[in-house]
Amino acid sequence: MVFSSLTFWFFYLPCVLLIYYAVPKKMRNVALFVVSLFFYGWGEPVLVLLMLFTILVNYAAGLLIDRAKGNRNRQRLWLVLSVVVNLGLLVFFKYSGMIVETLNLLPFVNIAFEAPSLPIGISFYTFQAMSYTIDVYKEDTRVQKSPLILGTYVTLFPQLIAGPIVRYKDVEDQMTKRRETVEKFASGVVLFLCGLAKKVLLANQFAAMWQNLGGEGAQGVLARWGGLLALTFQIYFDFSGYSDMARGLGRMIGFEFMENFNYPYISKSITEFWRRWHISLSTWFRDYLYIPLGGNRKGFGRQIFNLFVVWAATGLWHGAAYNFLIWGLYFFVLLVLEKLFLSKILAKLPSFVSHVYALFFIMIGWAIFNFTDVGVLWQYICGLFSASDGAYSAHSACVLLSYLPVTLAGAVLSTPVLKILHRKLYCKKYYPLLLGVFCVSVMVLCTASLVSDSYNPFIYFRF
Amino acid sequence: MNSKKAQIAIVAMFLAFTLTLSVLFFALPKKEYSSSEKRYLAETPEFSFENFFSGNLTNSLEGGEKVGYIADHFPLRSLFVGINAYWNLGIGATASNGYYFCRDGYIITKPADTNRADKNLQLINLFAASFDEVTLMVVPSAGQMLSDKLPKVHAPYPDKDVYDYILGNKADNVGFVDLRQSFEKLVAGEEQLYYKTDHHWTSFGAYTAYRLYCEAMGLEAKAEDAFEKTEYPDFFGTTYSSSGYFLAKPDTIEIWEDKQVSDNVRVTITEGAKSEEYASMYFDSHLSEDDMYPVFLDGNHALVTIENQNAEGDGTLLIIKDSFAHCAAPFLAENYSKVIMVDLRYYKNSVSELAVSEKADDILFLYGMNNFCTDSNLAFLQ
Repeated sequence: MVFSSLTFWFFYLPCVLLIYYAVPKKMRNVALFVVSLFFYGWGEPVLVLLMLFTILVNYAAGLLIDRAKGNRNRQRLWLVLSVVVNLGLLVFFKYSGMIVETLNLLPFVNIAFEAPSLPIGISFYTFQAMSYTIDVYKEDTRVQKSPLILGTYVTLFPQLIAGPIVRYKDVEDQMTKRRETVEKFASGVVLFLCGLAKKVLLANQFAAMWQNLGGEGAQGVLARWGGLLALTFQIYFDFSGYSDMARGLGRMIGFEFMENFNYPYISKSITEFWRRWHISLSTWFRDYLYIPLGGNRKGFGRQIFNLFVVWAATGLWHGAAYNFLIWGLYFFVLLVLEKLFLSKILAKLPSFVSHVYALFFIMIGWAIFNFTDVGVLWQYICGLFSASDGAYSAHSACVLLSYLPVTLAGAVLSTPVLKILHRKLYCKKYYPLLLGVFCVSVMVLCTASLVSDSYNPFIYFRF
Repeated sequence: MNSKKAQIAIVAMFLAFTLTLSVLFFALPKKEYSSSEKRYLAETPEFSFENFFSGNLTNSLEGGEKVGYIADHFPLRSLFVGINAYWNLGIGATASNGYYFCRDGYIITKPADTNRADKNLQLINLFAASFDEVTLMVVPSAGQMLSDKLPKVHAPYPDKDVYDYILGNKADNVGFVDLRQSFEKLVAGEEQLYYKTDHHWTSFGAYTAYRLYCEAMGLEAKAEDAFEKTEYPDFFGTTYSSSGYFLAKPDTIEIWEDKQVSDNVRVTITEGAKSEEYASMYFDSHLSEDDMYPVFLDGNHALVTIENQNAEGDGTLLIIKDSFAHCAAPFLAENYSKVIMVDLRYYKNSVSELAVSEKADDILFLYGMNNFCTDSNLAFLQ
């Protein structure tokens, strides 16, 4: 089930809230566990078993690691075993098709193999579950004796299928000692509606703009840049909208999850961009891959190697196709260049230039991200710098013009303008009224858009 | 949200909005058919474990490719669809619902994304090879003819390319009736050739085409004053209902009736193995519906035959057509004692066999531009 659907908003959510607040406090985790399983099972119920297995593996690993206290080798054995199982499942369900396809390219190999379909959200919940086991091993968190609480943590429906990747140690206390208040609930409603608006009123418009421009077949240089801009905005508003909805829903039931996006498009360098984009993923890779590999403590050569591994993994995490690997390594190269000398130069340039620099490479990055076919990708990127078919066609000019207001709105809303405005208005007397009008407008417009069934894609099915 | 009261208000508002709509969804009776959208709404899916575990239930509720059960039966659906349409209009995303909101109350279909006019012409050429002569008539897009009423930013209509292609590539025995010049002249004189709330042409538009057809075929067209014109207001056609611009004003539909013909006519509608006979070309029951256009020959059917004893000539005309022909056929029945209309979207038998068995003297392909560019059913022509 996805949040931006009528089913979720008007049927699932009211039921969940009703059940959650009707049962006694002690039962709330059980209730959450059950409704979350239903949430996940919606669509493909069999996959619930897979998730339950993941929970069981990590629960057992946590217990075993805890019991082997004092025997580091045995602890390591259990950790490695659990990591192998976790990653093994991920590799089998997500990457086996890609691996077999690659092997089949070899002249003497010909494996007949039908890749399993990708269980939704598997990359998110596997990483979440792993964070628990690894932290128990690192003694960063206590073992969880109750399989139910661990299960509730992994399946927690708000962040289950599109993040943020909430780490166990960050919510450990909240699992048993969270407080539901009207204030939290109200701010959760506002956050949920902000996220819904980002997804339904902005991201879906940009998706339509990209489609109307002809997608990969856009005619004319301007049209291709316009398309890439649409894609850039679509991915941001979709993903950050989803994270906002997740955080909002979390607050409605008393949770507080970390912020996942911090206005990434105002970055002045790629390094800064990755500090602001999908923060929960980059910190996961930093803490559970980069630092265990030695981070920057083992010499410069080793650091570069570590970065290489982290960015190859980050790329592949986003999808089992070579373009994602290229995408990850593309950022690896840019980040290393910035580390070596580019940052120093950028710091001396006027900020306008560094903004343009960062946005340019971010946008080219989204082109790499978007085209799974490397040939098509190359053609599109060449098309960005060659006007062999003119600046635009009559059709694309029309689409660009009609989406100009949305594009401008997207540009403004990618900056913290609204946040600053919000801070200024917060103490004003008419603020509650303003907020009320905002909420009602968003509810009506989003319902209208969802009922009209306009283009409403879910773009993380590859993650 | 500095005060407790404001917080409670926000929560209450959200819950009230959500719960009202979900309760209404269950409480309101479900319609089977939407007369404004002219389609059957999604059926209630079966709630069973089997259905749930196979994923079928999700699909029928949420729709996947189609509109799902929930969106189809959502409370205040048409209001929400309208709000969405006007919102998109307001933010400049014109025609995101497929229709332009135009001056003088016109709602005009946006140009089709695909263009298979070349394939369709080739299919007609191929078909024409087994006959002496066939005639092709493609009704210009309303958007092309009324381009000064369209919003400034609009996608280009394919008319010129399509007509150029037809004129350059049609087989020699395919006659082409070009409506453009006459239509342009009439439009410039502020005559109404297309409906404001429907994608079809008006009786006047169809009559003009009929006159040009007669001219091309060497027939004598019935004079305009032979027809008695009746107006029916409150016509909410297809562009009105599918665009969602629910504040638009209704148009008036006009029926041109030649009493001499209409009193002596026999209409046979065949759908599969079933045939029914009627004594009129006009089906008045549709005049009480939102969409009145089916008043002409009862809308879309596989095969419709009009027999007119008082016709000027005694020939048989076979029309292979889309719904534009419904309003034109009564005029053509003036000059042919038998007019047979075939709709390839529903008629799946051999059309050439039909033409031979009915001894058709003339064959006319009559399509609106949009269907001519998009319809893939001409492939069934044989």
